[in-house]
Amino acid sequence: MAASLRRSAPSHRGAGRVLPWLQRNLFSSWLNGVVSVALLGLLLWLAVKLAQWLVLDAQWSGSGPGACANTQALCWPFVRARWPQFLYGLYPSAEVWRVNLGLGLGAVLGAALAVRRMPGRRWIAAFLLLAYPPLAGWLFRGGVAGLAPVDTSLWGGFFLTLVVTGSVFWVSLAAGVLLALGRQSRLPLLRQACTVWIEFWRAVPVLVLLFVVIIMLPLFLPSNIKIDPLGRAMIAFAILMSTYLAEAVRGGLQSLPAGQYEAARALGLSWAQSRLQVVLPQALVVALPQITSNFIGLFKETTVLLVIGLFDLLGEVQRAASDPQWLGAGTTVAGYLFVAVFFWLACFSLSRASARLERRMTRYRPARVN
Amino acid sequence: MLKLRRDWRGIGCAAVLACLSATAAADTLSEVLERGVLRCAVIEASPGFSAIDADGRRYGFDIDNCRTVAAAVLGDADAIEYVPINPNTAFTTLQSGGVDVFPGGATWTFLRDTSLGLDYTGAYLYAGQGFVVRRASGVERIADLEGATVCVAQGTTNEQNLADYFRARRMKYSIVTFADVERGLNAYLSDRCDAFTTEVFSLAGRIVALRNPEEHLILAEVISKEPFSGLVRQGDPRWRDIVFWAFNSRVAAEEFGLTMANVADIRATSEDAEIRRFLGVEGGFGGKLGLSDDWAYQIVAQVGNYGEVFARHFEPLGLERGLNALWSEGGLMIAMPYR
Amino acid sequence: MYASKRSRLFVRRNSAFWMQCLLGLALAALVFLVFRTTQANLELLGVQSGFDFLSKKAGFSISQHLIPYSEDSSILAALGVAILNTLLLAVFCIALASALGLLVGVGRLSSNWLVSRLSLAYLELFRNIPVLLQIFFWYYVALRALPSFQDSLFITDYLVLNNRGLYFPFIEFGGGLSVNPPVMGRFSYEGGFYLMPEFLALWVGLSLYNASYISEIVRSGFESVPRGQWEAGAALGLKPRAVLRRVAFPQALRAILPPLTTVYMNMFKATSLAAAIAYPEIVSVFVGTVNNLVGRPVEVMAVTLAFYAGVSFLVAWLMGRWNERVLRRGG
Repeated sequence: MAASLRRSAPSHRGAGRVLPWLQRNLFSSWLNGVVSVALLGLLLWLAVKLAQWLVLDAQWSGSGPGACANTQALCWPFVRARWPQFLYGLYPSAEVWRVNLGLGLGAVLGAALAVRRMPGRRWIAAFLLLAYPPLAGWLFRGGVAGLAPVDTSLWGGFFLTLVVTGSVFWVSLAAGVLLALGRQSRLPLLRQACTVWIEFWRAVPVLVLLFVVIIMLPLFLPSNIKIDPLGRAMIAFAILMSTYLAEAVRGGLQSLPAGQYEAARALGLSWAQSRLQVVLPQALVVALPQITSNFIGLFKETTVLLVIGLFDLLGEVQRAASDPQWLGAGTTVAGYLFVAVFFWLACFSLSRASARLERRMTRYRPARVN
Repeated sequence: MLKLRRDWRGIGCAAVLACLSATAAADTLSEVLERGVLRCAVIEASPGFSAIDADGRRYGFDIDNCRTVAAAVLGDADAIEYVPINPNTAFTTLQSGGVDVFPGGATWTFLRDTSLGLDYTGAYLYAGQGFVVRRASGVERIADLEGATVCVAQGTTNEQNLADYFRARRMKYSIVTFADVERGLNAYLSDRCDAFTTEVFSLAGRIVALRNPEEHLILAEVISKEPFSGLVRQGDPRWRDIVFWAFNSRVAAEEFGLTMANVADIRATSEDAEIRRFLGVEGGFGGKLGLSDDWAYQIVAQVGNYGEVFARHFEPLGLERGLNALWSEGGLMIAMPYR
Repeated sequence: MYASKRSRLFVRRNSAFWMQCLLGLALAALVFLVFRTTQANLELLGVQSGFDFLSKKAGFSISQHLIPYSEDSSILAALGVAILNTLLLAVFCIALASALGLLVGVGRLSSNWLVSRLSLAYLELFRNIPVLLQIFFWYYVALRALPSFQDSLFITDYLVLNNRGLYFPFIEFGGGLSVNPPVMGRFSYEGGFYLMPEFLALWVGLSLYNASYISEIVRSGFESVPRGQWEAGAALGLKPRAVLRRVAFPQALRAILPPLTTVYMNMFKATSLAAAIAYPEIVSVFVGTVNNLVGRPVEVMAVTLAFYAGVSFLVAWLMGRWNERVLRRGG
């Protein structure tokens, strides 16, 4: 590998510039040339192999397990046949409109928020944060006001992934802010309690906490309080997520110059006022990159649910792929590829969007006093 | 530590009990009646025992066990909320509540009965632990598995039976433990292991469902007896009785010759006193359990007798009654008398 | 004015005191309540308590054990085996991920366009796919695609790879060192030491995933070294490689160590994903098998939590010490 560590020169891709660009960036030295040629060859070989396997050798048409008689070839009919399950799990098909409506509403609201010149953005945000979660919960669960109840054990797939990510993030952000403020409190006891809580849970893997909560929570609660497994899983995720977010927010709080606190006090603002109007808005902006990367982490982490018997997107694919009728390398890979592409697109675009947001937000960032 | 705890218990006992009687709903029956649905734990995707059809409806032997209890208690075999559980967290889920009954594939053993805080409700299916191997491997007897790798599901009696059996015969083996039967079997199918072991009923069900069942061989020998029983939480004797007698009713119905099809007629016409008591025409037996008098009738009418249930789920898999035939036909199924 | 301010201060300090008292009481009450409810629940369920089960006979076998273990050993021994398996996996992962992360991170800074782009592609590809899916891919797809033991791959005569694992040669010390290749048995190869497929899948999966994070840390670490340092190194007549090793790396290390600790800890915690496939580490053995065997959820969970918390705090402390030393040496 090229040992010199200079950043690659900016590329000028004019017609007459191709050769100099190539020379500068790929063949600057004898060693670099060899590396480039070897890598190019490898890439080409890989591309051919991949194309052959993904497209030419793959089974595209047909339906039912019989279509994939060759168990080694990539089996796309499998993904098609199990599509509804991948999306909704076992959610009754007659009620699926509720999921679509709920998720669609969320998507529309989210999109509206992303438009910078949207009138009433503040109201949309308030609605999304305060009214939407219970509304969506009612739509999904039913049981009240004419909607047939749908037990959470039937929830699954893409739908479950979104529900868990969304609701856990929603709860954890609030809890995380409180924990971060608690860790900065002037009351030593509160500060210590928050610190111990945060540091302890940060040391525990998500899977272990899931087991702990799934198994132990019912023992901790009086026996007339029952929480279903999905609820327990969400609590476990929320405990972890809120401690991660608390650390992110604490980073933001610490980055604020002391002058901000003093100024708020000088203005005669109460503790709550100064936190809500002066400190938090700035701290959250600073913490934004951390918060979004935690969000992405949570999104990826929901796959762990399959270990405790809840079927998120990966869980549904795994479950479908172990159907003996479909069993085979080709179906498994097709399922995994589908999940991988889905997560990759989602996480990649999320991180890109967050980077853009961050650039936009830096305008509001408090000036550092160094 | 233990001593200290016991002292502590002595002191706080009265308070705890007072607290309990106020909050704990130890009476499962009234809880179920009030709720209107039975919370029944099932292990998912276990052919023959528990599966889901294209319309999302559950069916299988375990499912019919749930339906049996629901029919007896609520008069409606479909008033059930299924709680899917994982085998490796099954017992703790049961202990920690949220489930009224777990009728699926739990082997009745001494240690489980005495140390898990659970009550067994009576054996309703007798199985044994068997092995499946690839025909191509040339293995024909368990003894041929010397040095083999065996896949097994975690936290089951199978895991321990396997260890006991091979150790007693000084056979070398290596074990790979999976979270559930499905993953274990998958691992075997993709050649991670030379053999897979679990009890023969679910083994046969899974092998028949394969695309190429003829490539596999279920060895004739079994290494254990696996009496399956329903499980309920400990500390509610009446609820345990209800589940026991509900299961018993299906065997009794088969002994009486009652089926889903003829039970309504026989109920109207039968002169036999025991059948009349059984079906709730006289004697008020349901009331003694806290149920309505037609509880057993509802079981037979909605779910069927034991033979019908067995035939419905296991005959398509090519399994025979064997030990699970009525005692009068050389099996172990015997109904406690209704008198 | 003075007096009123003082009294306000006093009231404030006073109210803080009372708030703390209230808080302390509330916390104590909560802990007490949870404790009592748990005890009552356990009693109601008839679950026994105590850690005496640790000395009971385990009765199950574990396929990979670094210390002597059989079905006759105690559950405590099983715990030891599980802990060692966890640590073994974590150490292997940290080594591979660090090497790979360093390679990719330095690759990002390469002047070769192709190398830096491929490094970036690596980062984006592996970072944005859930690690569990990656582990599943390696386990259920890649390793299962390996040939069966009859037509194993021979990396050398001494290193055999098939769908049952990676087999290392026998090494014997009796009468001088002798190294014998793995031999084929009836069902598989037998070697001196072997890595099971579950281990390989977790090792590769966790390492590739976390290497993407490490590469990003390495890159930003090197970028934090001022340009002048490179130039100064070159001006001293050092070769580029020497500048990298002697000048840039020690300085980059200061920026690299703290976030690297976090990644290492995450990787250690992620070894618990082994419970999703069948590698016998602590979650799989303890929470999976032992918990069902003895039915003591509270104790089993407490042991597991204590293990993770203990290792985390130990590592945090050690890395803190190392970090201090690096800072003190001043690059």
